[in-house]
Formats: sequence, C-alpha cells, structure tokens
Amino acid sequence: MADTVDIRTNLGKWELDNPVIPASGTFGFGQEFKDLYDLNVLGSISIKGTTRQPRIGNPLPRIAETPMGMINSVGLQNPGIDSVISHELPELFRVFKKPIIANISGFSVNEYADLAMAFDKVPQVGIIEVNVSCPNVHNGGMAYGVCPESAAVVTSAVKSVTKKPVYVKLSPNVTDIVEIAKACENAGADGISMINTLMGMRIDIRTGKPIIANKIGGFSGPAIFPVALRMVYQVTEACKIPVIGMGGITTAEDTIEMMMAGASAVQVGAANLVNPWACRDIIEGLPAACEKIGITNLKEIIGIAHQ
Amino acid sequence: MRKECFVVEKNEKVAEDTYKMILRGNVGENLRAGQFVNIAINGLYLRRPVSIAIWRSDSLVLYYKTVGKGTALMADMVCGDEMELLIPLGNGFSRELLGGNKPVLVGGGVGVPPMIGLAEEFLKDGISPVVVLGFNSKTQVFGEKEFEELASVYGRNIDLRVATMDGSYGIKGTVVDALNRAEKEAGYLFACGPWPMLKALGALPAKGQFSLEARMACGFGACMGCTCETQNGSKRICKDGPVLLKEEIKWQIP
Repeated sequence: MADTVDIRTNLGKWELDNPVIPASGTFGFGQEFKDLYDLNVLGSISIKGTTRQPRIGNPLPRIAETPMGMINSVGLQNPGIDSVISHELPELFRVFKKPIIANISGFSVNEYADLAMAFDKVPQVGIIEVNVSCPNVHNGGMAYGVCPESAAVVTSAVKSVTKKPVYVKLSPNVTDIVEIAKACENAGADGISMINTLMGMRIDIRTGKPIIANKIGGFSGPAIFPVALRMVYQVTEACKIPVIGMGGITTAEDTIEMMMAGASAVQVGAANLVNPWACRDIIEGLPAACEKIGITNLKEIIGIAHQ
Repeated sequence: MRKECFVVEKNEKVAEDTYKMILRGNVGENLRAGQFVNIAINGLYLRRPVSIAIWRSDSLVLYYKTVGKGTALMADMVCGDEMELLIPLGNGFSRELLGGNKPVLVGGGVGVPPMIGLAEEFLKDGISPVVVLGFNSKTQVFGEKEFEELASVYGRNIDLRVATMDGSYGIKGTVVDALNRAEKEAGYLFACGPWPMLKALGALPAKGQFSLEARMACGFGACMGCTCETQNGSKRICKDGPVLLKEEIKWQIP
C-alpha cells in the first residue's frame, strides 16, 4: 500500500510533510498557483528572491530555450523587502499555513544582514535562504558566492542577526563548490541550498546576436540535473549540515535520486513553468515511486549513494 | 487556467509560412478575444504561446507562422495528433471600454487572428467593426474569408480593408494608410501586430488597446520572463497583458 510510505523529511529540527519545495523565482509568492491546487500539499515554498529596494529586473528578452531546459535573465525582479513583508507575504499566508523559506539577495554584506533581520521578525519564515549565486545581476548576487572567504563573510553576517536557520544557496559557476560549502558550514550555516542556475547562452543564428538582452543568463531544467546531482553528492560527502538539492528535478524519481545523493529535501524550479502542477504531481507520485523500489521511509534513503 | 488535451482536426497552410489549425477539446466558458494558449510540443522544453482566433465550447481555431523549431513541428502535425494546452491565458481585449466610439480592429501579419475573434464578439454585440489587415505582400494575406463569413453569419456588414506594403494586394502601404481621418482621430483602435505597426498606431490621436508580444516561458505570470515597464508600473505581458491600454505603453522600449 502506497499510503504506508513515510515521505516526511527533516531540515534540521523542522519536519516537513514531504521533501518537495518550489524553488525561488519559479513560484513568485504563490499567487499564480493558489487557484490551481491547495498549496498546503507542498513541503514548503521558497519565495521570490527579495532585495532591499524594489527591482524592475533586466531588459527583454529574458528567456531562451535549450534542449531540455531554458535560460533566464530576469535579474531579481521583486517588489523589495518592505512590500514583500507588508503585502506579498500576508497574501501568501492567507492560503499557505506552513513555514516558508525566505530567499534574500544583497548587493552588500549589510544588505544581506538587513534583509535577514527583517525576515527574522516574520514568525512564518522557517528558513532564511541566502542567495549568493544569482548569475543575472552585476556587482552582487553571485559575486559573494564564487569564493569561500566572501561566502563565509555573508554567512556570518546573516547568522549574527537571526536565530532562524540559515541556508546558503550556492552557485555551480565555481571551480570547487565543496570548498565554498565548507566555508559556509564553518561560518555557521545551518544548511546549503544547491544549485542555482549554470551560466549559459544562446545566439539567434539568423541575427548573429545573443537571444537574451543581457547576453548571458542562468541555465536550468532537466538538462542540468546530472550536474546538480554530482555537486550535491560531493558537498554532502564533505559537509555535515543538511542540503536542499535542486537543479532540473521534474519527477518523483528525480526527487528520490537527489535524496539518495544526499539531499534532505528538494526544490523544483523550471518544471513549475512548463507544468504549473509539477510540485503537486511529484508529491502525489512519491509514495508509489517509493513503493515500487521498496522504500518505506524516505528519510532512510538520504545519502545512501555514499555507502 | 486549465491543462487540457486537444486533438488536431485540421492543419493547413493558408498563406506563405502561415498555417491554420483547428483543435477539438474542452475549451470551457468565458473566454475573451485576445487571450492565448500555451502549447506543449513533443521534444521541446518550453511551451509555445499562440493567440486564439475563434473558439467554441469544444473547438479552437489557431493561426501560426513558422518562424522556428516549435512552429515547424506544429506544421508537421496531422489530424488525430494530440497536444496539451494551458488555456485560457492572458487578459484579452476589453470591449466595454469602447464607449460610443467606432471599433477599428487592426491586425498585422500573425496579429490578424485575435481580430477574428474580436470581430465576432462585436458582431454578437450588434456592432459592426472596421477591420484593417496589413501584410508585407500578397503571398502573406490571410483572414479575409473568415471576416466575410462572420459578417454573413451575423447578418451585419464588416468594413474590411487589406493593405500590403508592396501594393501587390489591396491598398498600397501600411495599415495607417488604410485608415480614414475620422478613424485616426476618433476611432477606438484594437490592434495586434509587429512593434513598428503598433508604434505607428500609437502616434495617432485615437484611443485604443494593443496586444503585445514577448518571448515568455510560463505564460501564466510565474517566471517574470516577459515583464515590461508601462506608465502604470511593471506588467507581465503574459498575465497582466498581452493587451495593454494604448496610453500605458512606453514606446521607447523596443
């Protein structure tokens, strides 16, 4: 019986009903999905990356397609922290009753700390996810995530202003992601979210010009799943803190595979954009997918590929 | 928005690189002219947004131009093939803002299809619209027959004009050349077509609503891939549009 499969999982002391979380930037603040299905079936929601000031984002086009994936260069378009806390979150909390993951992006160490301080006061924020890996903004975002020292500085700054668990969201666009994950762990991070998008590009061969106005963007979708899986495996080999794995996850089987690599939970990104019901479908498919291969408790498979 | 499976009933070439596709499936109620569907195509990751030309509760008529891989795959589809659609998407045109003005429907190239559905809605309201279609050349002209059929079904007249840039069919020139002075000054424009056409119409004194186009991913407002700046702040072309009021469009943006 599929209903005997236990699909709960833990992120530190927080027990989630299931490991499936929509990834930041692909789910907004839930408004476009709330009429499609009951959002409370989700493990949690990682909200749209929030900055101190409102951001209008990058010029159009921001989207390009790839084989089994897509490139985006949205550029952290968001209404800014004040509006998120006073408007977007209350709207979300009307329909979503579980703790959320607040994703923050800064252009200075102080900005990261200020954002964390603001979300620290929101009781329904379960985790603060520190994005040091956005490839689509200059002089910020990814700049902090590409070297261990600056990633550690941001981690410490955020840790010093909040009691909530801090997860650092890492970029794959680095030489050694393990080194950066370890630096975050040593600086006090409670967990790691990985991976953000890979930097990619497409050119329109009819015009000879990049399709995306910003030329380069973040590559996501099923095409990057093996890269994400490999990196999650390497980081969980070296670190003790929990990892939320993401990168091209589309099915219940992908979720199981990512957890076997060492992820305690997963985030689903691009899949939401091509199938708005993707997260619900994955959650509904998990018990049967587990049962088929003899899994009765999802927690027990976390990291079994390391044994 | 729903996810529905549709079956191809007809897929035929109607002009140079332009196809008409009739689909059977559950369309549902309360659609508006100017809305679109986002089509999943086997082998491609992202869906393809296509505007709805005509709809009934159990069928859709779409027109598309083969410009890339997705539309080329659509052109290869045959009767009985299945496609999964997200439907309906976008805001559509607001006929209620017409006031007492004469509706002037302007379609350029693949901007023509939403005007067919809009013309039908006006005819249902008992209003006879002016319809102006613009193309580069005769080989690209399509849609005339559809407007003429609608006019006969509803027993009303449609003042239909076609303009081609090279003069090979109809009026020589742009859609603006095909408008009379009263229409340019006091008509109410409903337009869909290439940016230069919309921009030229935007320079006229007449009020109106213009349907915009953008590369998009989700089509339902989640990814922020198609956000543009307007006089009323940021708007997602897919969700807050594709139809914007003429006066809120910032023309300096491409």
